[in-house]
Amino acid sequence: MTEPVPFTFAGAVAGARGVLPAALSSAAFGMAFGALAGQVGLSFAETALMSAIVFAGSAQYPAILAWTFPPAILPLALTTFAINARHLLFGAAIRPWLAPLSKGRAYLSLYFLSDSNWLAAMRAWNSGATDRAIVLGGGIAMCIGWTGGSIAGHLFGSAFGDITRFGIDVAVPAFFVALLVGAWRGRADILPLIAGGAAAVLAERLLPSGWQVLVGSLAGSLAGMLRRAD
Amino acid sequence: MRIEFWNLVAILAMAAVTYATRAGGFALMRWLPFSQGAKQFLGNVPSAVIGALLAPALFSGDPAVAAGVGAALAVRLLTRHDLAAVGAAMAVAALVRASL
Repeated sequence: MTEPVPFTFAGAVAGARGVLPAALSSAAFGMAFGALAGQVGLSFAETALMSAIVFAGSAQYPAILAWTFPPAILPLALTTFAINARHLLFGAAIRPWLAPLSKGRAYLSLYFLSDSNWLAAMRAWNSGATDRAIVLGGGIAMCIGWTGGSIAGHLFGSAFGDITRFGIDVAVPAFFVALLVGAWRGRADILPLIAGGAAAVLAERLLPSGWQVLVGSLAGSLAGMLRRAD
Repeated sequence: MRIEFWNLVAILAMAAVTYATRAGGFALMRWLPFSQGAKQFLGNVPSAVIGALLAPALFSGDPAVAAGVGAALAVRLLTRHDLAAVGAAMAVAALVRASL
């Protein structure tokens, strides 16, 4: 496990460039979030701190909408867990690639694990990339976009008003489609993709909000595994 | 730089829970066996995650999202360029919304 693997500044820059479309749209979403947090009554410092250390937009949005003074800490923590539980799968799936890194580098990279930089890193790994700093660099770019956007939104309000103007809300799903095409393995991807999507749509209708990504990811991965086992 | 005590506690709790999910899967796999089944399962996680993230957006009933995602797919297949695909998706979605 101590075999040295590349972890370079150039790799981090490549990681940041790879997630650029997602980081830019994350900045726009961050602005909307920062403006909303200000309206709800969180201070500038609280908003900036939350985006920097929670760094999970899909969990922060519902949290801020449900915020009370004082906040209901246990429900907030539970909802945050539900929405972010998909990261457990991300970390498990990328373990073989990151395991040769020192503990410090691995757990620092994991701090910045998000949908976009994880998907981009999985694609890079599949296509033979060896520089593990891709995860860290991509994550830092996402975190700067999200936190910087949150700060700007709290200070100045959202520059875009409604996030659906200019189609900013479509940027993230479009980026996922681009990553899917780039990492396409062929027919083996069809079943997990469709099963994951169907289970997520079903879970969105049947379960409390927040669980659909985890449920879909588990169902899709399981379907893909069982099919191979036949 | 005002930070209320209970707001700080809530933010720290959210951050701790989130980091636990980010580090937890990686940490746990040290102890769980990397069997053939586990490998097959984990190999399918990326496409399953993309399906789970995309489908609720596609079936939200907003035709602009579906049109944008379709444009992204076409442009990515033609140009092999992520940023071009995202730009095309935003333009198509904005156009659809402007014309509705």
